[in-house]
Amino acid sequence: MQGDHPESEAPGEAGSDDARKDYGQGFSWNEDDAGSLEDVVEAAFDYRGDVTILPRDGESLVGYLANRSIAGAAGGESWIEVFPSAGGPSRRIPLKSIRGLSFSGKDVASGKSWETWLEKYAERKEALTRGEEVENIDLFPEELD
Amino acid sequence: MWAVASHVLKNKLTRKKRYPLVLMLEPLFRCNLACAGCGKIQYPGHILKQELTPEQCFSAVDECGAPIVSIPGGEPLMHSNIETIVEGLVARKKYVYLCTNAIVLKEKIDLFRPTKYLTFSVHMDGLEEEHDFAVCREGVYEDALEAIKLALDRGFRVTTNTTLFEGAEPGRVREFFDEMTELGVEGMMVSPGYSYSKAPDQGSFLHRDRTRGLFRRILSAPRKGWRFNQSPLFLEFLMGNEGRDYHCTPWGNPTYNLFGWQKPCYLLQEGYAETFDELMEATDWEQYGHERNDKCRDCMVHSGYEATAVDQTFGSLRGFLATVRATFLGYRWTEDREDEGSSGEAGGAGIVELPAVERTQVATCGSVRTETKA
Ligand code: SF4
Repeated sequence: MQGDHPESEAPGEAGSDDARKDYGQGFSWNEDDAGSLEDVVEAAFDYRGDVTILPRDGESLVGYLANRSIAGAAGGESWIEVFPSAGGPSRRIPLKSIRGLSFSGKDVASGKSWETWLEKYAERKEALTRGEEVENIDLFPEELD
Repeated sequence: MWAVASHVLKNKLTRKKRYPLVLMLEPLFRCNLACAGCGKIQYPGHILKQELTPEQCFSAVDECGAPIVSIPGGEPLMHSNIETIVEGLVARKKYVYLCTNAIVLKEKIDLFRPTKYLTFSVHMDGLEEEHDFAVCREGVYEDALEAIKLALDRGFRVTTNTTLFEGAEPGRVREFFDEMTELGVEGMMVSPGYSYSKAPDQGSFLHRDRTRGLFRRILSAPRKGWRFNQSPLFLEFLMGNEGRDYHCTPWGNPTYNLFGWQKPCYLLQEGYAETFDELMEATDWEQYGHERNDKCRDCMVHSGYEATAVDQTFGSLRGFLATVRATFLGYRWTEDREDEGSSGEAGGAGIVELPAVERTQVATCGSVRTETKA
């Protein structure tokens, strides 16, 4: 079984280059899927949105995956570090205790914000040279509360 | 200067191979600007709301031991305890560069007291049009200008911090340096930008040869009065001086933030170490640098290379004399095909005109990215 990906028909095997391109909001993987958790974790580390972790025991955890350590041939324990979206200190979770992981939150680094703004900027400049009234296109950060 | 020199010499005498010069302390990622091309602040809301506590900042500073602490962000003036952090660092006799877009500096200036240890390093990415474009908001340049004047009037040390990308117009940058000099800032910092992988625009990057061309055109005939708050050898490196084909020193500017000690540098995020010692010991430094790593290929950023220049200055008599020469007699660079006919020495025939380029602009948080398609 493949990892679910609502926006793509065939995301490919997790961990392959093809699959890596498809990691995005909505992607989910569980241990019966193709690919390895290590590869999914690597993609999640690069993902700028929250993820949902399904542990073998206990409740799922939603948060930002900020760090990871994948043990090499020399051994050691592989883990991820997650900042829970509900608040509280970061939690270190061993990979062996995880049965699934999904990219559940919005990827705040994706989208066409730059291109859109650039178009508006160019339009505004042209309108100004024609002496027309122009709308304000200032960008502000999203409200956090 | 003395603090840096003695720190370098002490480390040289103890034969320490890797040591930090400037701690990049990011106490929060939140910002009051939303520059469309910025790659530093793309995190979910609950991460943007978090801050390092003053105690976390102090223990990072103590652990690291660098004589200079640069506080970028996010916007550090939005930190709820920034004055406590600055006070604690000043008490430790650290030279603090508080990097700010200055939007709220007027409002917050009473939180701080002037001291030789504190400098406001104001992001100014060019003249009004370029700066407001870079930060995607009108009026920010004027606000920053007023804040700089106020801070200078109050007796604070103020420098500016400018990042340039390919295609920036050398003449406009020179005009900007004139304006900042006239304003009375203590020094200016300038660096080529690094295109963060998380910045929305990933279209085109500043390549090393173009960086050299741009900086030669800007700095080859520096005006009297321009003062740069950075190593003259680093500026010669940017201009393409053959003798300054530096390797990166990522451990020179280690970065600490909410996630820990960032590996390997301020620009790349390959993971985090829990302690400074772990960062220094467990990072595979050999993997990084423009000759070895694709992500580093075009990087000539000060957080990677200025420490190399400083190490050269204080690491050998030759380096020291070269710094004295560059400071008093001007910069030297090596000509290449692109600027045949240039003097090769500052104070020569003026700025060399290079081929015209098609200009598209990109903004990053705190940097002008005017990108070029040849
Ligand atoms: S070359 Fe630049 S990006 Fe690469 S490690 Fe050095 S500072 Fe970081």
